[in-house]
Amino acid sequence: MKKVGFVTFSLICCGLALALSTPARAELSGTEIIKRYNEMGSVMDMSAEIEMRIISKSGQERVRQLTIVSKRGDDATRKVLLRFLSPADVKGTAFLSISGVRGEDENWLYLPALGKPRRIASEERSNSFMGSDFTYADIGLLKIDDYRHTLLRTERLGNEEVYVVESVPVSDKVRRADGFAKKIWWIRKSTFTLARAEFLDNNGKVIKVLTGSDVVDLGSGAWLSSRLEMQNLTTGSRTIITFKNIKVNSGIPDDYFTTRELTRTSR
Amino acid sequence: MRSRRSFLSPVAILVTELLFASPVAAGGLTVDGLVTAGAEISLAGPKVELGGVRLTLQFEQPFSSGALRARVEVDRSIRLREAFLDIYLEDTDLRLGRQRIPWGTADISNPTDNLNPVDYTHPFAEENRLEVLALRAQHYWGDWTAEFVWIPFFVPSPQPEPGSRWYVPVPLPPGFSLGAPQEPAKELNNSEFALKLSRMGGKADFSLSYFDGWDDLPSLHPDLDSMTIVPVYHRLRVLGADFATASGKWGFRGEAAYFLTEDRERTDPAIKNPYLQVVLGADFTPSDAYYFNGAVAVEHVAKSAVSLKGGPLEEGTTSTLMLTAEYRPRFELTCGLDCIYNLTGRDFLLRPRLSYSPADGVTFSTGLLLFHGPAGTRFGNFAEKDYLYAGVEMAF
Repeated sequence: MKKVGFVTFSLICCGLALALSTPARAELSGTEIIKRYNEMGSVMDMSAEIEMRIISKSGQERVRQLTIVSKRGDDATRKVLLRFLSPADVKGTAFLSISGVRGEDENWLYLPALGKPRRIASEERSNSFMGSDFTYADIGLLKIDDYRHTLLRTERLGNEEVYVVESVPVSDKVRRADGFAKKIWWIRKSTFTLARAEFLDNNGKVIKVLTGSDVVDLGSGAWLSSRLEMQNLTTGSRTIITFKNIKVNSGIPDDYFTTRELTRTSR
Repeated sequence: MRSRRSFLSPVAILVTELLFASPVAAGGLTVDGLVTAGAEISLAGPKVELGGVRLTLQFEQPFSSGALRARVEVDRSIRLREAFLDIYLEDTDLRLGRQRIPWGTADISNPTDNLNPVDYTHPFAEENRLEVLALRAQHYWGDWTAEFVWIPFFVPSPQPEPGSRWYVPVPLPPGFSLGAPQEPAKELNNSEFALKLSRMGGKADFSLSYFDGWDDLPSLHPDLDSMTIVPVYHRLRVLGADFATASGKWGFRGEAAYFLTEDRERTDPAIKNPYLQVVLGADFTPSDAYYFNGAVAVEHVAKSAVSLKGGPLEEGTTSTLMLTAEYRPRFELTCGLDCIYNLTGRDFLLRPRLSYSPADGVTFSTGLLLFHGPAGTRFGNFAEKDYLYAGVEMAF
């Protein structure tokens, strides 16, 4: 059976997209800034609808719509359940990922045609997510200790104050797994959300540019960059991810993140 | 096939009653569709066979604690493939109606998947299992699931008609003809049931299962009075186990099933002796562009207690190798090669294939089915039936 290119999308909400936090009161180190950006603040669970638009260099567009439900556990576990709503040929496909509790991530994929959950291997982090310009490394939770984070400066980006932080992989293994040699972040000071990121290769050339915009207040001091656009400067394509109908801290039970729920084709 | 029509009526009545009896709807009715069209060209002929256009419609009506679902295929005829009611209780899910119950973790071959008959009239179709009327109950606690399945009426596997493409003549002794099949009476005493205990989570998923039902394929019994060979269906009990685990870019799967046939004493030459099937496989995804899957299947049939020289049934061990390789240079383009090689009979099936999806919901596909092997072997029987296929699918 063919394995569909899904993955540990632990995700969009946990990683780049959900940059939630509270304003800084003092100057922070690069690592502290990235931690604040990477953590989910007071948000323990989140559900949202996602629209993913993949636009090729020639302008051809593919649109995917998904729902995402995620939860962070007290024991550093993260659980995510993704369900595709469209296009029609992938509707009902669902993906469950549980990470951080028993060693290696546990991933299951449900294909309606198969009719049963299938345990799948963890994807390579540098692989494309669903044919988009995001890799699994891009959308997954950043592993803070895999990088050296250095605060380069603070500056204004547009009309906002931002921290500019450089993250360099601590080893060749991490570098190979993630597919870039260096990443430079522009993190909003006011909300610790992502404004921009540049991905550089071994020659110092920028290969991808990520832009985060449309910051929304989710309450309880949590903020979200609800629109993310990744431009691939090598291929000329770009992918836009937009979050809608975001709900946080709604008390999603643990038993939602099970293979039982995975097989329910809608809800 | 004869039994399908008889299943429609009670299911249709049930669906209708439940539709009108469900006062709390959780959402509107959704309808999804798939249009497929294709053609096949026999390489031996050459002869072109148009597959026609098929419309598949899927209906779903969710309600507060479950859903009604149905799937209908329309081409020259209308077939109700699935129609069932899902009821979600606190720790238990119930599914009642015409349904497919896929068991097993392995790819290509699933020894523990014995609840739905195989449609041998389309043996190489991707979806060649037939749905049956069944009650399925799954009770959950933590990572564990206990499952019970009841199939009130046995449905045999349909066989190709004489003269059809996949028909393989039954070897008959001189002077004998083939008699009418003897199927179990449609009584509750003859219903099938199955149990499964499974765990999904942790380092590996695994399950243990038990099936008590009927062999989907008949045994051939000589009737000397009428000089006929009579296909007779027999009871079958199956003890099964499976597992699946993953590490890095690798996935590992396996299944084993012990088939306890009616000939436990191994003395009846017409009934297959008890046998064991084991499948072990692995898949590997090195990058976006490549995917590999391989498995080995072994079947061991217990030796007969009496001499079966010249007897019709096999004994001993047979092995099969199954390999799949895929190359995906772009997201919308997939090239693949599937191979099933019987190590014992030295016969094989080879299927190179190509699919292209120029837009969401639209897929063009083409490929070859190539058979090779000595006469009398699984694929050798079809050695003159190689064909090229091409088709398009549009989902909406």
